[in-house]
Amino acid sequence: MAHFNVSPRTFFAIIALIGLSACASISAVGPGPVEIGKSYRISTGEVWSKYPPQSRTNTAATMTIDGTILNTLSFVDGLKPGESIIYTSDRDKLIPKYRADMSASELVDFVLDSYSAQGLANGKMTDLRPEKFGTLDGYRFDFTGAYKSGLELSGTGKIAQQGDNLHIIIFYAPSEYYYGLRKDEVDGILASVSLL
Amino acid sequence: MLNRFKPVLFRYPLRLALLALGSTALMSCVSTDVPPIEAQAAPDDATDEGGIWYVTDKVEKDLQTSAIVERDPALNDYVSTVACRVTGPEYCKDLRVYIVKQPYFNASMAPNGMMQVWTGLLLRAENEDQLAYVLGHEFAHYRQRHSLKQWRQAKNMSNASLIFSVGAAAAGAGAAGVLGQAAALARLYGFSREAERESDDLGFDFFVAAGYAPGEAARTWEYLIAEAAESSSRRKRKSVARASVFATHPVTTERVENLQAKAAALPAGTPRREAFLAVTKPFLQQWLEQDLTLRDFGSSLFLTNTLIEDGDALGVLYFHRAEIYRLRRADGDNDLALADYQTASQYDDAPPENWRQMGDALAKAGKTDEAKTAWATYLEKAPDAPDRLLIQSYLDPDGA
Amino acid sequence: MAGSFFTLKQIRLLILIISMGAVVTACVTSSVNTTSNSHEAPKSGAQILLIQPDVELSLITASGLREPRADWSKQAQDLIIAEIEKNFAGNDHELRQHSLNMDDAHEVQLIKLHEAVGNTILLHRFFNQPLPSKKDKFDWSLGPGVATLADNYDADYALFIFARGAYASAARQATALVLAVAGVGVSTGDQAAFASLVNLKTGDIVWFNVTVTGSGVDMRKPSGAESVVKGLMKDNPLTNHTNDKAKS
Repeated sequence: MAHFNVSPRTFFAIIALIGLSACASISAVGPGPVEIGKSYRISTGEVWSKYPPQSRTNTAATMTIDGTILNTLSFVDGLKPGESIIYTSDRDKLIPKYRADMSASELVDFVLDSYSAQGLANGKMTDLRPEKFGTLDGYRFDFTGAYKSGLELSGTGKIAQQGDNLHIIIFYAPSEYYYGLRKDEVDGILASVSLL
Repeated sequence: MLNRFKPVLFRYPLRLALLALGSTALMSCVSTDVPPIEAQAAPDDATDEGGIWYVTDKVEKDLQTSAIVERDPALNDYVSTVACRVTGPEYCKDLRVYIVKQPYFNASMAPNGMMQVWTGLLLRAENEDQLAYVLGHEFAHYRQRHSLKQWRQAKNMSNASLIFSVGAAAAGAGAAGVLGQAAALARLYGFSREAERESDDLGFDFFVAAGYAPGEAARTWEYLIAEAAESSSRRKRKSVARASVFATHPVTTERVENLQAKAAALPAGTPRREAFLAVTKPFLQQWLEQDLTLRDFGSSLFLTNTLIEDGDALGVLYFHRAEIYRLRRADGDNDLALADYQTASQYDDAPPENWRQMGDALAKAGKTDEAKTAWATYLEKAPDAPDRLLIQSYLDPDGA
Repeated sequence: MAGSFFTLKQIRLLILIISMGAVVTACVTSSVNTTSNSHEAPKSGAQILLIQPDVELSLITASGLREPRADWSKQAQDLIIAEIEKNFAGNDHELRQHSLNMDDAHEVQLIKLHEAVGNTILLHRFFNQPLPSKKDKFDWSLGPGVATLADNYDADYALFIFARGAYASAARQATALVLAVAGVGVSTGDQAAFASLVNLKTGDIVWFNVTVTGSGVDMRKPSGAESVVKGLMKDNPLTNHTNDKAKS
């Protein structure tokens, strides 16, 4: 779902293709509780636009308020060992894969390395601390990076393992204006996680 | 389906149409025989070359403000100076070299003089001579105007294949049309190989004229072939240096032998290593980290072992090799990783993260007390560590 | 396979019909959005920065490759700027050209953010991907950080222009005619442009417009540039007000 390569120069070409394809079913969610996959629920304070699950990237939901280039909130529900959060049609391509025995910093590296493999530039974890994910012991992390075009990004997220499976919530937005614009809302969402 | 409702006469206009089309396509065939570009020359705006420059100038502007350009002045000055040595003073001003933070072995040359050197190349070059050879090869693409030739070739090809594919499509033979395009593309690649060969030869001449050690030209490719043979990617093992400009124009044995033969006829010379190492060393850890995001453990191990043999920056290198084992998770890798973290810790240049990872590895091995010592050392060495709160929770699980 | 071939052919015919229609009518269609945030009408004497328009025109070769043309692009850029200046000539706002100061890191971020916002608006307002979270709203903004631009350049608004065009070569026109006889439709040219006006106090995109024209309008010529800019500047709050007064 992450797309870090958007440049205006290629944009007309891309939208021409999208214009031809049928419109994706984007639905309104919130304000209020939203169930993510089969494992957990969050609660929003505002109306978000929600894209359907993408089995190819093991993404349970992707949500945005202003458009995914301007803010993206992505959810993974119970990633299994050996799975990845990157889609590639190239079966021979080497990509980061989740393992159940990863340490906290390895889990965050796994997420950020996966984003880097999709074009996130200069991805860097800037904070990592323990934080509950519902009743699970989880970790909260912040990061910075940039679209390849040079537009700088800030992000935050939360991860936790339930048994051998991994839940991920990750948010990113341009550091200029948009991250700050939605930060309180996203902090509220990250604090609202409850297991189903 | 549409054809069903066409009158029988359809066949006749189609033939006429194809005939007419053939003549229009031939009319627009342009010459691919272009002389080398002069120093400090720019094309006329009203030409195809002028248009290509206009667009690449804009791409260059975007690149200048992009997030993937390494802007370190010392490194940029150094690489640009080497480029000027190879191009000679006349063409020096025509090239603008950008160091691009991408972990692949790659360099590219845009028709307007925008040259990109990827950090994966700087990570793998052993000395200034090997860098200089690649820069000479890329400069040859510029001087011989290979982009313009290739564009014209593509234009002529697509005009020619249009006759075939549209004709075939109109006749209801979709697959044949696709095949026609594939054949046209294959011929395009054939043309590029000629350009590569020409750039090999000219690049070699430029780099020898600049006083570099002739044997280093072939050595660059020899190293790449050896690394690719160890790659974790099956396809990369088969085709050398994937995802680089050299992917579409493979480094063939024939090309390597060509460079070896040229070097054999000349005095050996001495490669320049010191200045190259001094300017690239500060970036070693960053570039190795980026290389590891590719998850090609075989290539990364081969590279790291090669660098360890060279004997510089061992704290960084043992730490990095431990990181490869940690991520690879093959049988016995936990032990190998721990051993390398411990070796790295003996060297002054090991990064602070070495102790965090060593702590994690020790904890995994059940050595809790030793792990705590390593984590505490990490926090001493990196008081502003982003994961300080997490590490403190390891040191004091009760949160006292 | 036969099914998809048929569809492709249908699409090509559709394009042909559209572009032929455009040739006949030389049509210019505009699609204006204005901010749903509260905003004051521009004060008289407003200072407007015209960010250097991004214009790229190309030649369509016989087989349909698009070959960029520097001379046409520069010519069209000059004509567009001249036409926009003409739009402002009748009112008391002041228009100034500005090219990006690449040494100012914050300015670079603002310009890149504008690209991102512009792309977002195009995608979700013009290409069939409406966002439910933006229902009945057009509140996209660059935020108050734009004060940097207002302060550095003593300006109240920034105007962004982005234009693309493609024109058939003689060989392409011949090809198109010949293929039309064979029942295959191909494009012989198109132009698209968008413009965006940013309030440099609030950062709000106060007005945003997309213009598409058929191959009958030619941006390389003064009359074509005039039509494109007329469509492009439609209903903008800076010149439209005076235009209305002039008309009435």
